[in-house]
Amino acid sequence: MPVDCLNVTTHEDISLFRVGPTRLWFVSEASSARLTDFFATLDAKDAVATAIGHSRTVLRISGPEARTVLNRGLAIDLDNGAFPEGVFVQSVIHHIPVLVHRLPSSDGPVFEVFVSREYAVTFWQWLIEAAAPVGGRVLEMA
Amino acid sequence: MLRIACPHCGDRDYVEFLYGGDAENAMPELSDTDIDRWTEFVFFRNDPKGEHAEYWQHQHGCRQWLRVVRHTVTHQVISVQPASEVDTPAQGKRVEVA
Amino acid sequence: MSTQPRRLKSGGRIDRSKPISFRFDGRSHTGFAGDTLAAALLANGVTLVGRSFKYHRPRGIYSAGVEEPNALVTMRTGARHEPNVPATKVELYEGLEAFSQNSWPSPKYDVMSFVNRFPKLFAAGFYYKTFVGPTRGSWMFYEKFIRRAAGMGKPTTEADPDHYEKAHAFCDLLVVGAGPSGLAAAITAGRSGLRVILVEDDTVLGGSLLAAGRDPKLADWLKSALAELETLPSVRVMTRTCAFGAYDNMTFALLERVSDHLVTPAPFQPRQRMWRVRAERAILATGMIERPIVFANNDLPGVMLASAARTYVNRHAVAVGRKVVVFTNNDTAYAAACDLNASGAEVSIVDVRSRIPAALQAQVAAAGITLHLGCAVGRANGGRHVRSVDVVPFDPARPERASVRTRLSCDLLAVSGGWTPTLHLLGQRGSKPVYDEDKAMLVAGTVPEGFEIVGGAAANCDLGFCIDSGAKAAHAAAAACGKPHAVSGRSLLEGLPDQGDAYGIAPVWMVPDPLGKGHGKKFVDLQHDVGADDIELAHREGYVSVEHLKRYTTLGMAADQGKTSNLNALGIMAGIRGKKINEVGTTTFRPPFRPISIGALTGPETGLHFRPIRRSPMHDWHEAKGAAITTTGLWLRAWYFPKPGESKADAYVREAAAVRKSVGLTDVASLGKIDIQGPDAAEFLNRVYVNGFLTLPVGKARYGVMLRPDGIVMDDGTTSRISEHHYFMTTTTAGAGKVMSHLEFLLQTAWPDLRVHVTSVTSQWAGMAVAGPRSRELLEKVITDIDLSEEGLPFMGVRQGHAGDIPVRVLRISFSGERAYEVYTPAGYGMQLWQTLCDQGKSCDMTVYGVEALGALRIEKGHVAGGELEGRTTLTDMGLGKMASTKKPFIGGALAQREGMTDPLRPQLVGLELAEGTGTLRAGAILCDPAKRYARTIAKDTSALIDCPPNPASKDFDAGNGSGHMGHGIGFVSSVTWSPELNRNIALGYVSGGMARKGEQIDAVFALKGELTKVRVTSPHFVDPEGPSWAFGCPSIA
Repeated sequence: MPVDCLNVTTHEDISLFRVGPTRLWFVSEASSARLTDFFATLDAKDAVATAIGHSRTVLRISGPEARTVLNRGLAIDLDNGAFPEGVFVQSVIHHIPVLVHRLPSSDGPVFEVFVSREYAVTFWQWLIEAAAPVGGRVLEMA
Repeated sequence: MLRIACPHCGDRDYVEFLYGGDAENAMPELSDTDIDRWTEFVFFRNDPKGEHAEYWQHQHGCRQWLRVVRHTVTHQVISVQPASEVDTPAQGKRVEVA
Repeated sequence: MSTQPRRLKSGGRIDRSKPISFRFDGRSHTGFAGDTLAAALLANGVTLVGRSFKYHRPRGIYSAGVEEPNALVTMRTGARHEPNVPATKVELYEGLEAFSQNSWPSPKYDVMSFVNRFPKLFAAGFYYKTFVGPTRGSWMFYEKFIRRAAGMGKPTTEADPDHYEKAHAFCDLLVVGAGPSGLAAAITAGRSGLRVILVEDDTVLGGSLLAAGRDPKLADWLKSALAELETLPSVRVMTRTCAFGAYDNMTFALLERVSDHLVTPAPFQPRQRMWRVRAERAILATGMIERPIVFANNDLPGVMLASAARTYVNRHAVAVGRKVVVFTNNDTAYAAACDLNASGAEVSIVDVRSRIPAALQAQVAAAGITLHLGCAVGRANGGRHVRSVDVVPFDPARPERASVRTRLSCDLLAVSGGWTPTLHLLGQRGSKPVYDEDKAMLVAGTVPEGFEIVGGAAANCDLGFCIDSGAKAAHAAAAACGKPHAVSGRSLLEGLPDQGDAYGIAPVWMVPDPLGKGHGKKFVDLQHDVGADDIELAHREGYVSVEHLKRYTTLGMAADQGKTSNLNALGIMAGIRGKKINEVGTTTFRPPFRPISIGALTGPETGLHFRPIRRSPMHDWHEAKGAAITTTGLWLRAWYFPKPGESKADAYVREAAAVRKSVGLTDVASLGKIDIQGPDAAEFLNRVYVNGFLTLPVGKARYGVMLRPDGIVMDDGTTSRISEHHYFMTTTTAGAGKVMSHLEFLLQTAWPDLRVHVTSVTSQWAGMAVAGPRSRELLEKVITDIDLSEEGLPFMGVRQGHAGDIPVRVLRISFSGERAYEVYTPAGYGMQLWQTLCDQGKSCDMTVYGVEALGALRIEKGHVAGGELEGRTTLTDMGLGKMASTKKPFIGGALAQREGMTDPLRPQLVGLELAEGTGTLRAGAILCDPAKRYARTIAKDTSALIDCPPNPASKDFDAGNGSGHMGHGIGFVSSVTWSPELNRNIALGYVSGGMARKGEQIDAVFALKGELTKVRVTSPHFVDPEGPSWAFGCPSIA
């Protein structure tokens, strides 16, 4: 269990984010039978689980100007000392609530940003406009 | 700019928070049908020039409701506690009307 | 045409290899890179740059910096046209276009200058005194002329083609100002490894060093300081950036002028960027600003601050004057005099003091400068430019009128009355300055925690002090940030030239008119044309407090915020009142330090980005089908789906008819959805809803209404019981966030012992409604494993299952009256499920419908929604009083019993239709009793509403508005539509007496458009009134 609210704990393919004093996000890339089984065993008197896997869009932002671009809207100190690898915050960018997680990386800072699904397009538009002045370009739209 | 130190998340800008009004008094019991006590809780506020206890929710963070004591002149935040951990007086101060 | 006739042949910090062409008032000129627009104009001999605000007096360039009161120009043309820009802060660039302001047809020949002949008529506050009594009504006539004559530049009405950015930054130390003190502070802090942001408004670093003479030691110091800065990785240097605001909690706002010095911004670059910086500590190295002395005609072009003259000569190599008089009361002007002299000008000095330091006397004598001690300039003479000055004997200790002793001809009058430290950012933090009698300046009072002031801002311009104080403050900041040990470097005090640290001064604010010369206008605030007379006037009329003085005269309220006039005004008022300056007091500084554009404050939050838009998972489908889109709060929603050639009315009528006759599909993804789980979930729901939820069985849903603690209806929705401890609540679209915070508030502050967790799942679930007689038929084609029969899924039942591989939750519920279902699926499957329903819908005659049809359908059924739940209505008002449980308490229950809330005369929900078949029904119209028409009027003397006999023919009668109705009426119209089912206009509304008035004809008044429409009260259930009991099953859509 993560002790410090800001740290992310990872067990194999599952990451735990302590998003509130009594709330944990369980995040994994693929749907995990292990998780589903685990949640089925919960006793409502101790804990309850809510599926929110469809509720967020996740973007990954990396590169030497990643901090510059994020700080165009995020009022959080992203400097190495203040925001090391493995740490996350919940905050707001351009009036959109976000969760920002710094991933371990050997090649410069990498951030994952979780945005509520209904804001995804608005957030994306803000992001590419914020990135344009520092050279960000959309390479491909699938 | 107002910054509030959320006990769970840390020091944050006011944009992450939602103001929730006066926190001086506790809500009456739901079974209490006394209109005067409910009127006092819902409507009557002291407006001190000085320290003021108020509710702020960390809306774009951990969503905890916090009881914040803030100085209304200097805006200094004097204390922040999770609201669920605070024992607010049940009847509170009656407002003095001159 | 000789280009730049006033440019000195050598010297200056300009780049002569980069000539720049620009235009002013349509004429072409040349300058050099490194010039400001003001410097380049002066180099070209342009000294008349506009007319003053009120009196249209000719004005020239007064300063060389942010304190400029006069030389406000309009920059650029077209959509980038920007008025009121100080020419002293404009960086010259190729292709620059600027225009003078406030004169027509030109500054030289200005038609409005006649105003100058009647200054007494337009003294401060003239409009308060002119338009009173019999002339009161004429204010509205004259106002538009006065408004046109007043003001300075004109803004453009075209849209701004540029974009602006906002950014956040964090640092240990913010250093404001990159003069010698700021540089010393930044370097020292950088050596300690502190994260530093060094902010400088100018294009280049150096501050006061840039205006100093050519002492090679100063140049070398600056060069090595800048070189060292480059090597310090933790120091971020921001030039062209103004720190304009200091806020709570060590937050600062900066404005970075990213592209102001270019004709157009580079591709993708913003025009300006506003930063919000959070610092642990701040060092203000903001220097000082010079102020003038006030005397008659002190506003003529050719009169400027002495330090400005020095800057133009030393930094820009402009011979601002060939025959110069320097008028001063302090030592600092002597450096200016000597530098002007060295540039080839003939210089005289007029000093009010009768004794000056010997060193200065020697310096002046060596340079061949004429000295007039114990004298003052009593008056400047000239038409559009200063030609001469009248010198009078003067004793600062006893200022009296005296006869002119001599007249000196000149083309430049450089004035220095002393200096004032720039302490605005401290003032914004509530620190009031204090007047220092010895230095005759306002110095910092208490310095707030976290701040240090250094150098000139700390009231000492001695170079050694500046550098030393900067370094010391940085050491203190480093210690406070836990980094006390600096990497050692060369001492910053090394290599400094010996400088006299003289600052002798004899305080003088104003010189009285010379005897026998009549009365001359003595300007204190040049930008607002406020003179010493106006201060005396304010005093005579009782506006003696500094706050009143400021507002009555508008002194200090112009764009320059009185940077050159505040202390003179205080000094003059103190003198009139016979008080000390500290007793007169100061006004409060507020951000911004200098004007900033609204664009920068807006940043990217404009247009579609003004609010963050929320889109349904099926949004792209709606757009692709050509739906008209509308908004509900932040959500984009399909409004109607027009077929080719259809109008809005055609479309929604067709859509609504399809729902009533066959089946329709609509997107309800925007509804708020909350997941509620825990052993005490039922108890919690029971407390927040007015109706009971303890006995809701698993697999059933119930419509619920929530009240605010004050008893007013807050929101409604449907809550389903998914399993024993698991509930799924829906709310209105607009109420979702409010309800969520409300539930969390109750759980955390009032009932922390309840074991319940609430989670917003609005984004998790896509929701769609399938409604109409054939709705079950359609669902049976799509849902694979749920028994949709009457027994399998009864009314208000909820089941989980699949549509193929897609998990679904199906709720049998209706807002339009027909059989209907709400189908939820995790958002990622939303589009797929929607598409499947559309495909299968082809064989069921299905139509997709939008919110316009949705609205019409629910109004036809008489279901309450946003228009009815508008924050003033109770459960009983809307006819749902029976929903409230009598067996258990609920939030809002107590205050809903207040007299005013249970008053039987409160307006109640009714239906309305046009009584005569014609007219316009509008939501928001006030419902009125026809019998009371013309029964009230406005009393002439008190403007109160009084009853009167209905007699519109009487000549005393004042109907007030065309409808004949006055006052609050008996109710209001809440929602309107043209009913597809009934082929006529219908509405819902509230009226006192409610259904007791059924069949009655009443008036609907829409005062904004002066409409009176006759309506008839009917049942709110226009369609299928005998249908299934909706009182307990009619959720709203909004």
